[in-house]
Amino acid sequence: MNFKLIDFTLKSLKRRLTKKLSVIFIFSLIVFLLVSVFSISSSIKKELEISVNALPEIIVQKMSGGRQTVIPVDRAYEIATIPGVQNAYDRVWGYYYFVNDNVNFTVVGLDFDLEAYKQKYSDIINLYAEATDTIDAPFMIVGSGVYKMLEDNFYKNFYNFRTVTGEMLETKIVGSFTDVSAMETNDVILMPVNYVRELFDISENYATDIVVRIPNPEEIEIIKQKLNSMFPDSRIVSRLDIEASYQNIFDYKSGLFLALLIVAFVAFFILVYDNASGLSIEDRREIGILKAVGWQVENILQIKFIEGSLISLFSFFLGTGTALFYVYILQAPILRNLFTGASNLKPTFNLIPVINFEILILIFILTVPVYILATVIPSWKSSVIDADEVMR
Amino acid sequence: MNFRKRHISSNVILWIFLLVISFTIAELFYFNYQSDNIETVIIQKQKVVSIIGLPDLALSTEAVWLRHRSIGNVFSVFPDDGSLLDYYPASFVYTTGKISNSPLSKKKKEQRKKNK
Amino acid sequence: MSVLLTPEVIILFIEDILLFGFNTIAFVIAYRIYKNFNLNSTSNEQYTLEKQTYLASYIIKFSLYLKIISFLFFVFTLDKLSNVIPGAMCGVGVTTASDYGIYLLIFKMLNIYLYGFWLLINNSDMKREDFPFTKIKFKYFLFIYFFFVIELILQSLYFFDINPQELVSCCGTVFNEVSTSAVGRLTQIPNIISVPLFYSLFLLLIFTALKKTVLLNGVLNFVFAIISITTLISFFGTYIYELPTHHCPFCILQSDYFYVGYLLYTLLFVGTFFGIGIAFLKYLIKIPLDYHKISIGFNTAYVVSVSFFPINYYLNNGVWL
Repeated sequence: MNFKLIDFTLKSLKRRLTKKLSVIFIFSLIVFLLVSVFSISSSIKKELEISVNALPEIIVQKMSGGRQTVIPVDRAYEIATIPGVQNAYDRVWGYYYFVNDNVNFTVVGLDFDLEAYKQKYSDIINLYAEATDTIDAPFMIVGSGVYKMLEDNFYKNFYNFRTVTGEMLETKIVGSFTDVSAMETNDVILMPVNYVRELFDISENYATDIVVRIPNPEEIEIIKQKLNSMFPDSRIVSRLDIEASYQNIFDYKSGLFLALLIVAFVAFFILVYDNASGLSIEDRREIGILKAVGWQVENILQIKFIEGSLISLFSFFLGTGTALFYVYILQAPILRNLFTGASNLKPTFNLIPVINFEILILIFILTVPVYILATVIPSWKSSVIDADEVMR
Repeated sequence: MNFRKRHISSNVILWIFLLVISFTIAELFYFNYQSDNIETVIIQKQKVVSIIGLPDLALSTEAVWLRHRSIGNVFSVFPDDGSLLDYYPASFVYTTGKISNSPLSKKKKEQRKKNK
Repeated sequence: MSVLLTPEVIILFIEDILLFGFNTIAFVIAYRIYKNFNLNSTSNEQYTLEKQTYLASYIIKFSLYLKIISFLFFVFTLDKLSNVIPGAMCGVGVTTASDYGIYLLIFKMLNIYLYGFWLLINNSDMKREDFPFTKIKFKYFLFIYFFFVIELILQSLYFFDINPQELVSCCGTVFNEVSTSAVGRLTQIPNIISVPLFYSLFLLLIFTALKKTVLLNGVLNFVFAIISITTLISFFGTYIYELPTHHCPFCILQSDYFYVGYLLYTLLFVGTFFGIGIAFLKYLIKIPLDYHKISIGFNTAYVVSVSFFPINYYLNNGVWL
C-alpha cells in the first residue's frame, strides 16, 4: 500500500467531508447500537455467571399435576443420608403480590438463629436496628427497591402484610441490602421462617422446596439421578440446568436481535450505495483530471478502496468508543430499560464492565466488509468515466 | 520543507482519525482492566445469593414467571420451565397500564359518567 | 434449538450471501468476456467489456480478501460452537457433527487457493500492455464460481444438518490410534517415518526451488502441505500440548495455547500457496513467476516455528515424549 495514495485520499476526503458525514453518522450509530446492546447483555450475563456459582447445587421440588406444590420436610432428612450430600434443608419462599404498585416481591424465609448466617451480614446489609435476635415480633430485611417502594407508599419502617387468612401481619423493617447486590436482591424480602409460614399458610411439616448441598461437583449428576428415582413425583433442578438455560436464552436472544437488525443492514447498504454513486460535478472533474494526467482505472479504484476502508474503520472505532463510554460510564441511560422489565420495581444496578472481544470482532466483520462491498459498484462506475467526456 | 507544508491539510483528518482510534483502544484496556478487578463485588454478590439461594436477577418483577423462571413450573399457561425460550421482545414491549384497565373498571367508569 | 440462530452463523450467512450476489455479477461479466472479448475490435461492445473487466477483477480481488477473513471467522465459529454441541471440545467435534463438515472445510480451503491463483494471474496480466491473459483468467473464474457455489450449498447443508441434541465425538476419539476414520488412519504413519519424511521434503523443496524446477516444486509443495498437517497432528502437536496422547489440529487454535495455530497455519498456507501457485500458473498461462523466495521464506518459518516446540520441550525436560 502506497502512503502517498493514503495521503491523497485523506486530502480528497477532507474536501468532500460534509458529504460523507451522513454516512459516517449512520454507520457509527449502527455500531454504537450493536456494541451497547451486546455490552449490556454480556454485563448481565456476567452477573448471572457470578450468581450461579453461589447457588445450591440441587433444588428438589414436589410436583403435582405439573404444578409445584409443598414438599414434606421429612424428605430433607432422607436426602441428607445419601453419601456425598453435605447437607439438605428445607426452604420456604414465595411471591407476595403488592397490589398498590402491581409488582411481586420475593419473600424468602430464613432461620435467623443459625450462627452461620450471622457472620455473613455485616458487609451486605445495612442494619437500622439491632433486632436480629428477637423472634417475638416479626421483622424483615428488604432489598433497596422494596424499601423505596414501601416508603413511597407511606410504609416507613414497617409494612402490614396480608396473610392468606386475611389477617394483618405488621412487620418491622430492620435493614436493607446494600446497592452492590441490587441486581439480585431488589425485590427480595428476607423474613424469619416462622412468619413466612404464617404468611403463606404452610405448616411446619411442609416446605416450598428442599436445597441439597454437594461439595464435590463430580457427584452432582449421580446424586441427581438418585433423587429422581427416590422421589418420582419431584423435579430435580441442578445448578448445571440453570446455567444451560441461561446460555440458551442469551444465544437465542442475541441471535434474534441480529436477525431483526438485518433489515437495518439492508437499509444501510442502500444508503451507502446511494451516497457513493451520487457523484457531484466536482468529483467527476477530479477523476477526469486524474485520468488525463495518466492515472489508471486501477489507481482510482485503489483510492476508492482506501477511502472506504478509512471511513468504515473510523466509524467503527467511533461507534465502539462512544458505546463503551455510554454503557460503562454513563450506565446506558435509556437502552438499559430494554433489559429491565416493564414493572415499577426497577433495580438501580451498576453494569459490571465486561469487554467481550469476540463480540467486537463479530460486529467488525458484520459492518466493515459490508460497507466496502456496498461501495464496490459505485466506485467502479466513477472510475471508468472517460477523461474527455468530463473535461469537455 | 515545502513537502511537509503541503501535507498539513490531510494531517487534521489523520489526527482526528488517530485520536478516535486511540481513545477507543484506551477505553478497551481500561474496562478490561476494571473487569478483572471486581473481586470484592463478586464476593459480596455471591454472599447474598448464597443466603437467598434463588437464581435469576431482579430485572423483571411484574410477573412471577419472569423472576426465578429457571425454577418455575413445568407446565402452565406461560411456560416457565428452565429451558424455556425467550419471550422478552414481546413481553417487554407489551405491558398493562399502571392503573388496571380491566373491563370491570371500564364498566365502573362508564357508570360514573352516566351518574354524572 | 438449532445452531442457525447463533450470531456467528448468521453473520457467516450474511457475508456469504452478499459475496454470492457480487460473484454472480462477476460471473455474468466473465461469461460475456469469455464469449465476446476481442482486443482488436473497436466496437462499442468491446469498449464496455473492457470497462467491465475492472469491475469483475475488483469484485474477485475483494472476494479473496473477504474469504480469507471469513475463513478465519469460520474456524473461530467452529471453536465457539463447541461450547454448544454436546461432546465437542474443539472444532473437530463440530466439524464431524454433520457429514458435510469435513467437505465444507476442504472446499473452503481449496477456494482460497483458487481465488489466490486468480489474483496471481491478474497481477501478471495487468503488468502487460496487451492484456494477454484476460480471456483465460475469466475462463478460469467461471470454473472458480462453481466451486464457490458448491461451497455455499455445502455450508447451508452443514448448518441445517447440525443437531445440537446429538452427541458427537471429540478430537480424542477422532484421531485416536485405534480409530478407523480416514483422517485417523493418515495420522497413524509412525513418527519415525513421517517426521524424517517431513524434514527431507523440506530440504527437497529448497533444492528444487534453487534449481527452479517449477513443476516438481509445485507437486512437492502440495505433498508438503499434507505431510505438514499429518505430522502436526501426530508429532508436533503433542509437544505443543505437552501431552503424548493429544492429537488434534484444532485445539492449537484455542486461547489455552495462545492461538498459536493461527500463526502456524498462516505460515504454512502462504508458503505452500506460492509454491503451488508458480507451478499452476506455469501450466495454465505459461509464464514463469519468481515467487520462490516468498515460498521458501514462509515454509522455512513454518518449519522453524514448528520445530521449536519439541526442541524447547527437550531442553526443559531432558526427555522426548
